[in-house]
This record gives sequence, C-alpha cells and structure tokens, in this order.
Amino acid sequence: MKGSIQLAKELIEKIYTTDTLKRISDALEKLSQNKGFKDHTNDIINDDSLTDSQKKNQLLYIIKSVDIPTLYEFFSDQLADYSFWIFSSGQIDYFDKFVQAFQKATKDVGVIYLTTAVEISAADLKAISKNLGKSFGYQVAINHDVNTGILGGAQIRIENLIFDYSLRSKFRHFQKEWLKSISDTEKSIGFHADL
Amino acid sequence: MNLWIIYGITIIYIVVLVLYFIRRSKSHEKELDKFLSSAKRQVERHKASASQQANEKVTKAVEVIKRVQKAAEEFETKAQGEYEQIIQDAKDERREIIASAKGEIEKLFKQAEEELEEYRLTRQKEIEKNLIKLVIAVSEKVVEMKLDPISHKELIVKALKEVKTKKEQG
Repeated sequence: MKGSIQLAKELIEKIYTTDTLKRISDALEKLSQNKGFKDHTNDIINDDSLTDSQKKNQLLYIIKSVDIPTLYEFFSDQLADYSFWIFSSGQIDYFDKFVQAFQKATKDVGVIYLTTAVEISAADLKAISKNLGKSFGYQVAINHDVNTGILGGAQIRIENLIFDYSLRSKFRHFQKEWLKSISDTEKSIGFHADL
Repeated sequence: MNLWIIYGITIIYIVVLVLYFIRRSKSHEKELDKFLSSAKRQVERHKASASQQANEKVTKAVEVIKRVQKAAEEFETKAQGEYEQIIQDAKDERREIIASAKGEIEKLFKQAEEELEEYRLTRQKEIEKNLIKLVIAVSEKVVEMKLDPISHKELIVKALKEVKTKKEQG
C-alpha cells in the first residue's frame, strides 16, 4: 500500500500548470474540510452491501462532481485496484493526511511563467513541463499566458530570471542597434543629409 | 482965455502922455526884445542840447542796434553751426543705425539660416528614426501574418531550449 506522501507525489507529477495546481489544491482543501464528503465516502467504503466496483464508481462519481479532469484521472488510477483506504476517516483521517502531504509537496514545485503569442495545447504544456522538470531536476508547473503583442517566440520567467526570446524583443533589439549604428555614423562622419 | 489955458494944458498933458506912452512902449519893446532874445537863446540852447541828447541817444541806439545785430549775427552763426552739427550728427547717427541695422539683419539672417539648417537636420533625423520604426513595424506585421502555428511552435521550442541551456550554464 502506498503512503499519503507517495500518493501526493504521484498527484503532483500529473500536474503541469499552475492553474491546475491551484484548482486541485483549493478543491482538496475544501474536500478535507467538508465533513459531509468525508462521512459519505467513509460510509461508501464501509458499506458491505456494495461491491468494490460499485464503491469505486460511487467514489469516482463524487470526485467527478469537483470537475477537475486531472484529479478525476488521478483517483481513477488509484482506485483501479480497489484501494479505498485514502477515503477512510475512521480512527485515522487518511484523506486529511493526503491533503496535507499534497500541500506540502506543492511547495517543492517550481513555477515557470511562460508567455507566448499563441495558445499552447494541454499536451504541449505537459510536454514542456516534463521536459523542463527533467532538465531542472524538480517538478515544474507552467503558468502560461498569451500575449499576441510579443509576435512570436516566448518570454520565460524562472524565479527572478527573465528570458525574453520573443520576436518583439528581437525586433526592438534590431531597431535599437540600427538607430545606434546611425548615431555612431553621425558622430564619426557627420550627418548624412542626402539620405 | 481960460479956455485956452485949459486947452493948452490939456494938449500939453496929452503930449506928455503920448511921450510917456511912447517911451513906455519903447521900454517894453526893449524888454520884449530882450526877453525874446533870451528866449531865443534858451531855445537855441535847448535845441542844441536836445540835438546833442538826441544825437547821443541815436548813437546809443545805433550802438545797441549794432550790438543786437552783432548778437543776432553771432546767434545766427552759432545756430547755423549748431544746426549743421546736429544735421551732421543726425546723418552720422543715421549711418551708424543703418550700419548697425544691416549688421543686425545679417546676423538675424545668419541665425535664422543656422536655425533652419538645425531644424532641417533634426527633422531629417526624426524622419530617419521614424522610417526605421516604420520599417520595423511593417516587418513585425509581416512576420506576424506569415507565422503559422508550426513556426510559432518552433520558436517557442527554440526559446525553451535556450533557456535550458542558459540555466544549465548559469
């Protein structure tokens, strides 16, 4: 049986955007504070009249109402082997422990602010997150923003570092260099009045 | 007889009276002549005195007139000189003013030309800068239109690769 920390880690690994991270964090926090939810899920897993499959379906039905696909997908995987202990709130509140472990694990997630001129598909964002996470050596959540003003390329902020690889930046740089070269020419040979 | 005596006395008396009056008349005539003579002398003296006084006055008057004429001539001469001097000064001043004005005008023209040249150069610089900005803006628009999703993706991937490289280096 996996522990709460391991489960939290697995959930974190499924998250690749800050938006999803925040939504899941908020949703889990609300669920952990919702006594009705806990009692209900506890009743389901302790109901001997239900088969494991029915228990699983009912639990997933409740999770689906939260309307976060990643969370649903996670619990769907976890309940695949009918391991219901996480919803047990008898003597030990495992769900609370899981939520606490998750909240703690979120602190180790690195946030990368990515601005692009076009939308990026969820699959691409996931790939980017995985790729950067692998490269940086820690879990990465992307905070993606669309700004058509940058024309193309990307602006990336990691902690306090800002990397501007946008086309707008390149054009601005080119314009600046062009103006500078003209200014330098003026200084060295005088203004070319016959332009 | 008596009558004759009376007549005789009367005649004598008349004769005496006539003689008396004649003599008296002659005496008076002498006095009158004397008086007239004296008066004539006095008149002559007065006349001479008056003539002399008149002559003196005339002389003085002539002198005064001469002095006045001389003063007037001097004044006129002086005034003429001053007038000519004023005219000359005015002419000199006018020449100086004209020369100064010409210099000032030339200076203003030169300054205006310099300012115009500076303005022209500034405007040309501005136009050149605006031209560069326009070229960049047009290029941006063209690139924006020409970029397809694949190109966008490639640029993003390239940016991410550069970030990874820099992060690994730094």
